[in-house]
Amino acid sequence: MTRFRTDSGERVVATRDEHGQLWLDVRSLHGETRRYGPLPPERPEGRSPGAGRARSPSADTGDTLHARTAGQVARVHVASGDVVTAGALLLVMELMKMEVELRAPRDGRVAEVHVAAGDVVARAALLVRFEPA
Amino acid sequence: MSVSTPRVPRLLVFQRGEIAVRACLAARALRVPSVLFVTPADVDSLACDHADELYLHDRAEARESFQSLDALRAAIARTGATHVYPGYGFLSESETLAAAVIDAGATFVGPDPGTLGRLADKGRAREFADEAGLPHLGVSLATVPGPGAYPLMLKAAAGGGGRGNLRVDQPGDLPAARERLAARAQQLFGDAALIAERYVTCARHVEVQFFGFGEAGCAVLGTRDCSLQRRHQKVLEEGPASARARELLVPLLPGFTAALARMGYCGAGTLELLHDLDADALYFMEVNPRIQVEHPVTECLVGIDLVRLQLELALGAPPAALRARIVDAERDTLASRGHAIEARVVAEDPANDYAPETGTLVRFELGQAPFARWDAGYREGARVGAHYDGLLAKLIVWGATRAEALERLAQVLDATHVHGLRTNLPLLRSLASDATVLADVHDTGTLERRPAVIAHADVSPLDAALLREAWRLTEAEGAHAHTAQPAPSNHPSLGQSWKDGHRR
Repeated sequence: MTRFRTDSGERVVATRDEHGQLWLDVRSLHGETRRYGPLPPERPEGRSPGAGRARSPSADTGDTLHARTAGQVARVHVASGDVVTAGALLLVMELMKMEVELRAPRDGRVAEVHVAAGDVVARAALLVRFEPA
Repeated sequence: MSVSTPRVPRLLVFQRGEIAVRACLAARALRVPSVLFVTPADVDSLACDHADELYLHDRAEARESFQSLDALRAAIARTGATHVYPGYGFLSESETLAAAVIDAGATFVGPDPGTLGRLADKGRAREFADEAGLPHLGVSLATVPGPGAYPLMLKAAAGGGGRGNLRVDQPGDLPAARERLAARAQQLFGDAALIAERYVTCARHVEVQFFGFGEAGCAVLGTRDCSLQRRHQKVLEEGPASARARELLVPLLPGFTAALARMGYCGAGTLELLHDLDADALYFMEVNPRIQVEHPVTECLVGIDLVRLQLELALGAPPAALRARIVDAERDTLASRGHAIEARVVAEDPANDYAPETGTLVRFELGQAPFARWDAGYREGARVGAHYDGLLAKLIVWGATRAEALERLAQVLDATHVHGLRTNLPLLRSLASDATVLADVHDTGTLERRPAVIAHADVSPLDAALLREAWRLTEAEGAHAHTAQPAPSNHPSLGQSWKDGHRR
């Protein structure tokens, strides 16, 4: 954690997390605090804070299904080799006390299922991989 | 081991987070050694600092640790614990857990298994409400409910926390809904039994904190209002409840405390009621036979350490003397001094549908003010994993009036800074200065009806020189970044999160 003052008198507290992302609190002379972060480590120069929002790296290409959030796998409804149509129920995740259904992004064959019921997975973890049917 | 000699007390804290800290502190105050049940995910938690001894369990998953009776039995056997503190959540109100503790020759800090069994099941709890003379919203499913009963809420009898609830708007929808929910309840809770309740559209969530002293009777210690909820999770809790709710409660309480006294209820508990604002009536929801997350609201209003009181009773203090000491004539009413509010700081992303967040608390600065108290489960530098719920800390503020308490809440939240993972602090800050909340005209649906998205971070432009300076000055901290993966790997095995916690 680093503390410094800008030329205009703002007090700044900056930290980096374990992924190298930057977190900032900027306290103005009037006592208002603005908070930023996590700002991703790549290309720090010239990045606007709004654009710096690190979205979850879960862009499903259609060939893979990733966990959108950290959570626990409640049930798995498919096994490798299954042929599924778009929208088919693949697995159910449990987050806090809610259940979230994850469905097939497109038609295809399940190549690999990387999780089992009861597994705790991190955000963006690979859950299911598909191949053309 | 000799059976006849009374054993020297030794408390096993079968719990984690901030409530485990409270149990260790209470044990210390009572000069009873505490042994904390620790999983690999919690080795750098705050509770570890406060326990006299640690019992290291080798599995972190809830099902293999705090929800495992085998894990509990092994811990009792290997630590020689005489008492077990269950806290809240996990199996804290499970009849089988309490029975397992007793079978292992130890004392369960809480009501006896029979009482827990009677209150945990929603169907049986309704019988208790009838016996206590508390009106409830129950609709019998033995016959087909008439058109006047709609909309109604179908619930899994064995469920909780809003899981397995289904709203039915008209008689024609009932058969299909029953079939669907029964299958779901069987899958979720291993029990297909359903109950039905009349659906209340506009309500406040009202609670009564009570404490049972067995034969010495049951004392009411005050009221709370927990109407600010999101998906059945409480966000802000305050006390006392509204003047109108307290007025409606007065005639209901004697029957309620008498029913508990007849059961010989021992320990802390909470009566949850719904204040139907259209009908202006109170309805029984459930009794939680354990300590609750929001119990500090009451502690601040009446000046009693409820966790310590739980321990004292379980350790064998004479109930009548204990009751006489803590509940004087003045306290044993619904009157309390000033106003208290609790805010739950949770690791979740407000802008991503409040999805749980994991990470390391690289900055964890909890704001300070007079009459502000923090009950935290973590300290700066600790890792927050995905194994358990994301409650990081609770802020409890007191004020002479509600307005004063809210102002203090806003002030302390503004001075609170968490880096390393996203939290619900933006939501809490917005609520502390919210016009509806200030006017006290919200209900249990207020938060759900609002646009869900609250930005986590500021979007106003950031000075480029300031940003460059921040990157430069934190470069050394970022050194770890080159070894850590930006995206979490698949299969975060237990060993992985364990190591992460240590690496820091």
